[in-house]
Amino acid sequence: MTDEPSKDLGMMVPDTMRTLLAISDNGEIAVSIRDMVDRSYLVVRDVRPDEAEEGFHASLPWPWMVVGTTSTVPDSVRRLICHNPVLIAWYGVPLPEGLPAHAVALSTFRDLITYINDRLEVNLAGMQLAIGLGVELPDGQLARSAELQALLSLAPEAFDIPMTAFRSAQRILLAHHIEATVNREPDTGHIGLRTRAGVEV
Amino acid sequence: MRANPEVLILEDDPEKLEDLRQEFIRKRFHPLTARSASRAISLLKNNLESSRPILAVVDWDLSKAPDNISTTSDLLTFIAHELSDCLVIVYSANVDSFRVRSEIHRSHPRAWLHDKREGDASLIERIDRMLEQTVEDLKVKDGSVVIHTPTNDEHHHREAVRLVVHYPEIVTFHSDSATKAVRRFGDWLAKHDSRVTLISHGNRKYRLTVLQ
Repeated sequence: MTDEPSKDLGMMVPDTMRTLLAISDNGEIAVSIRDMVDRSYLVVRDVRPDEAEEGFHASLPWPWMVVGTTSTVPDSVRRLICHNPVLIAWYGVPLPEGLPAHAVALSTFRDLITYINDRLEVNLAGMQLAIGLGVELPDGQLARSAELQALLSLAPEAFDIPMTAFRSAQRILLAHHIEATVNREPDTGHIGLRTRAGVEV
Repeated sequence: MRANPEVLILEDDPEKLEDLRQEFIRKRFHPLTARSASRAISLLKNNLESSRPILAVVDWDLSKAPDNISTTSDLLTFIAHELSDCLVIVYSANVDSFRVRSEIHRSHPRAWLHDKREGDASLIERIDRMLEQTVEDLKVKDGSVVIHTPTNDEHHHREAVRLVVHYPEIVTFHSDSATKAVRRFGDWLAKHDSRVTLISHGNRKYRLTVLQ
């Protein structure tokens, strides 16, 4: 595998496009994922564990999803994914310790690809992910909010991170009169997107 | 005002390079050609203010290149850093190789891959599909002209093409002349009552959006 210094690689160029950050020891998972997803919807950034923090910061404002195949997560990356609304999927190994409760462990590659594509195709209250980045709203507008994008993608599941991370999403929902709200689940305190009628879609 | 879009072509085989050059001239592109990665990087570096290709067509395997000072990976990395709005297609006979694919995408995560074994016509077809974008009542013809389909009026400027092929992304323009061309395109859209309009995000950043 390549051993060039990561700071010079094109994959570390900051980019606002929806990003899947693939953390692995050999890059195989990133190559395989690229073949199985619609690349107009996301870019796959292929990093080794010691490059993961840099890759996270290059994915503006944060990665849409982190996929890992390593048995541990660098502390710096764990801190970042515990404080930002990032979807997390681990494949082929048990979930490393210290990840938020919304992280999922998937045992087969097929399960992983299904999970990624399902997250790209969520439709709730007339909202769906736009090509490139952001969310297409029911009124036809494009919301570039990474928070709303994350909430929509994870629905009907909820994030195990603080409510403060989702203020912009709630503002957009209100401003565009969308029949959905940012909701704190009473039993877990997790934050998710729900239709106003409370129906999970 | 007309300004043909530029295309960077890196191909080590002189005959194939000339074939590709002629193909893009027919499409009203201005081709920037090189037989080695170092020459391609120099071409881009020396003209960064005036030349910003909307497309780079890159041969991964450069065994016939006149020099090996830089690699294709170096060129892709340079493009990712300096010309992030340039579409990139990399063709290789080894595109099935995991190592090659990984190296290409670590150098340029947005690069598109094409199998060289499918032949030249297939490469051109693939490029046509990449460039011939349609956004509501606008379409890009031959990768070089924006057409307002209800009237068939044409807008010949590379920055207009750049905006359409990158729809709905924000594109950053790098010179006053480019931003003036973008604003003229915005005026042209309004004059044609297009369903597509130009949005400014400040700092020379623009995108197209569809009116609801």
